[in-house]
Amino acid sequence: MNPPSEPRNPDAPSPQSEGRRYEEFVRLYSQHEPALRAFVRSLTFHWQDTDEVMQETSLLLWRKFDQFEPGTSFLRWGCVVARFEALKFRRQKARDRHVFDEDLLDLLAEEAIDESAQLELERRALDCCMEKLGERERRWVTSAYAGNTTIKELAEQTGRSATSLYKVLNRIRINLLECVERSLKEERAL
Amino acid sequence: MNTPRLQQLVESYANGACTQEELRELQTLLRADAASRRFFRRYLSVDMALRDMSIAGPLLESDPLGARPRPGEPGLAPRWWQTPPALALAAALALLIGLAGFWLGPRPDSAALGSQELRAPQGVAVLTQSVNAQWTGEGRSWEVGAALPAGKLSLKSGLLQIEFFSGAIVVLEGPAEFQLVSATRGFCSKGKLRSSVPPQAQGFTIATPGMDVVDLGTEFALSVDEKGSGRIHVIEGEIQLHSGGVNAAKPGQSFYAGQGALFAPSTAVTPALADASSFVGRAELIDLAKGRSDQRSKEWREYSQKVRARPETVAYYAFDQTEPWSRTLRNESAQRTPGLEGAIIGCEWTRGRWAGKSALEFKRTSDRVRVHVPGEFDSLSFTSWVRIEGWDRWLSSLLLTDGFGKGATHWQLSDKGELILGVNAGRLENHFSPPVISPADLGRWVHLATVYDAAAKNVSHYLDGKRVSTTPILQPTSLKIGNAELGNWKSGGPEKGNNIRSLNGRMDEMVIVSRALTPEEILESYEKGKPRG
Repeated sequence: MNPPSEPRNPDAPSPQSEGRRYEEFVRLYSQHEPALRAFVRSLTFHWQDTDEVMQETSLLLWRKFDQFEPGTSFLRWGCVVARFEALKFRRQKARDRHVFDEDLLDLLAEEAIDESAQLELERRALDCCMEKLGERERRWVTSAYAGNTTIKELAEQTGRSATSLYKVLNRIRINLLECVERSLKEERAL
Repeated sequence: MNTPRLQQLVESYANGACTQEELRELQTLLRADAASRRFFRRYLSVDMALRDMSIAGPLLESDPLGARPRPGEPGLAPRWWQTPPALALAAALALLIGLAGFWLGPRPDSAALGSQELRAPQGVAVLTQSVNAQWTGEGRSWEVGAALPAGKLSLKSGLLQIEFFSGAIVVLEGPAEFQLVSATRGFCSKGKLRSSVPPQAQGFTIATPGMDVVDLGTEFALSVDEKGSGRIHVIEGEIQLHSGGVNAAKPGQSFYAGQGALFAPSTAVTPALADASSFVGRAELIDLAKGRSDQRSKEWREYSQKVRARPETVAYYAFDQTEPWSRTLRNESAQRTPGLEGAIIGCEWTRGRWAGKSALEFKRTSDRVRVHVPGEFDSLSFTSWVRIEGWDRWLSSLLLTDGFGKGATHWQLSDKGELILGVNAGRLENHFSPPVISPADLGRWVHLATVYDAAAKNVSHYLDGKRVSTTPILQPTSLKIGNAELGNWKSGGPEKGNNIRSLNGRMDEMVIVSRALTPEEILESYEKGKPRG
C-alpha cells in the first residue's frame, strides 16, 4: 500500500504545504469525528461495523483531501464519502449480516447529509445531556457498552434477566433522546 | 412518527438483538415516513455517543452490576487515544505518515526561527503599539494586542512597540528585519531599535550578525545595516558587547551611559559617542500613535458617515460617545425608530479601537444592550468590531433575537472560535464557519461580518475582511430581529447550560444592513475601521 517508491507528482504541493495540509486534515477530522461516527452508526448494524467503515472512511478522506474545498463543510463532505463506504461495506457483508436494503440506507444517508449542519449541534446537546447522567446510570452504561462483557454475561453475573438489563439501557437512551429534543426545542438552542 | 412499536424495534436494533422478521418490519416503518427515519438516526446517534463515552470513560472503581474485572484485565479503561476510533485513525494515518514523515521532517531550531508557520499561539512578546506599520509581506503582519510567537518580523516602514514577556521593551523602526527568538532574546539583522530593560529583564540580549548586545539595565539604541555593521548608543545604565556572540571565548566589552560604539562583522569595535536623538523613544511613540489614531479616526468617521446615511443601513451603533454616564446606545442610522436606540444594562464604557474612541465592555453575565429592530428581511448583513477577552462558555452572543421564534436570527461565536449564524426557518439552520478565531486573536480588535444572502442562497462569514466560509441556505426564510440583545441573550428559558451566552469582551461597532453586502464592501468596512495601519 502506497510504496514510498511511487513517483511524486511534479504538481504535488511542496513538502511544507503537505505538512500543513496534514495538520489541517487532522484538525478538521478530529473536530468532526463524533458527528461523522454518529452518521455512520445509523448506517451500520453493529458498532464493530461502524468502526470498520470509519477506518476506511478516514483513510479515504485523507487521500481525497485535495478535493475538499476549504470553507465548505468538512462534515458534509465526510458524510458523502462515508455514505459510499457504508454502502460498499453493506454489499460486501450482505450475505451474512443484518443489513437494511440499499435503497433505505441511501435514503437514510441522504437525509442525514441534508441535516449535517444539525448533526454537530445535536451531538453537542447530547454531550451536555450525558453530563447530567447520574453516577449510577453512567456505570450501567459503561458496563454494558465497554465491550468486555455481553449483556447476556452481565445478566448471568448479576442474576438479573437480560430483558430487564435491556430495559434499563433503553430507558437511559430514550431519556437522553428526550433531553436532546428538549434542549433543541424548548431551550431554543440557537 | 415515534410509535411504541417503532421505538421497540429501534431499541432491539441498537441492542443487536433484532430478528430477521423484526428487521423487515423496521424497514417498512422507516420507509413509510421521514420522522421515523429521523428518530432512528437520532436514537443511533445516542447509542454511538454512549459507546464512545464508555470506552473512553474514567476508571471504574466498582462495577454497578457486581461484575469484577476479569483477572489479567487492566482495571483502567482505555484513554481516549486508545479507543477504537482514535486507534483506527492512528492506524490509518500511520501508513500515510510513513510517506509524510520526511515532509513533516524534524525541524531544526534554527529553521523554526525564521518560519512563520509556528502552530502554537505560544507567544514570546506582545505588540503594544504600532504606528504607520507597513509590512513587507514576507512574513505575516500583526495588529496591536497580538501575542507574537517566536519568528520573524519583517517591517517595510513604520514603528512597532514590542513588549517581551521578560519585561524588555523594544521600539522597532522600519525598514527592519527582526527575529523574536525568546522572551529574553531578539535578533536584528537590519533596522533601528531602541530597547529599555527593567531590572527583571537584565541580561536581555539583542544579537546582530556580528555582535551580541547584552543589556545590564536600562536603555540603549541600536542600528544595523544590510551588511551587519552598525552603531550602538547607551542611553542609560550599562551594556556589554560580545563580538562573535556571548559564548565566544573573548569577554564582553562594557559601555556606559553616554558611550557608544561602531561595529562591523569581523572587525574590532570602535568606541564612539552616543547620539540616540534619531531614535524614536517610547514617549515619542505614544505621541505619534495619538496623531496616527486621530488620523485613523478621521478616515473612519468619513467612511462611517456614508454608511450611516445609506437607506439600507437598518441600525448603526458606533459606540462613539463622550458621556460615560450615558445609558443609551445611540443608533446613528437614517432610520429613526425609537426602539433602535439601545438600552445599556450593566456594561461599562471603556476604550475602543483607538484612543478617543469608546466601546462598551461586556463582562458580567448580566451585561447587555437591549434593542428593538423592526421589520422583516430577505437578506441581512452584520458587521462588528469586537475585542474578545476569552470564551466563558460554549456560545458568546454578538446579536441574538430574544428566544428563538420563527424567523429569529442568532449571530454568535463558539468557544472554538467559530462564527455562527442561526436562523429559525421552520427548521433550525445553523451556519458555522470553521474555527477561525484563534487564542492569539483574543485581546485584539477583530472585525467580524456575516452575510445572509437570499439571492445567492448562502451564508458567508468574514474575519478581518476575509471570507472564511460559505454555506448554503437550505430553507430560505424571512428574517426577523425584533427584540434582541447585543452581547447577551434573553432566552426565555431558565438561566442554565447554553442559555447563558454573555460575551466576555468589548464591542465598539455593530452595523445591521438589510441587504447582502458584497465581499468588497466587507473588506472596505474592515480597512476603513481597522485600528492602525
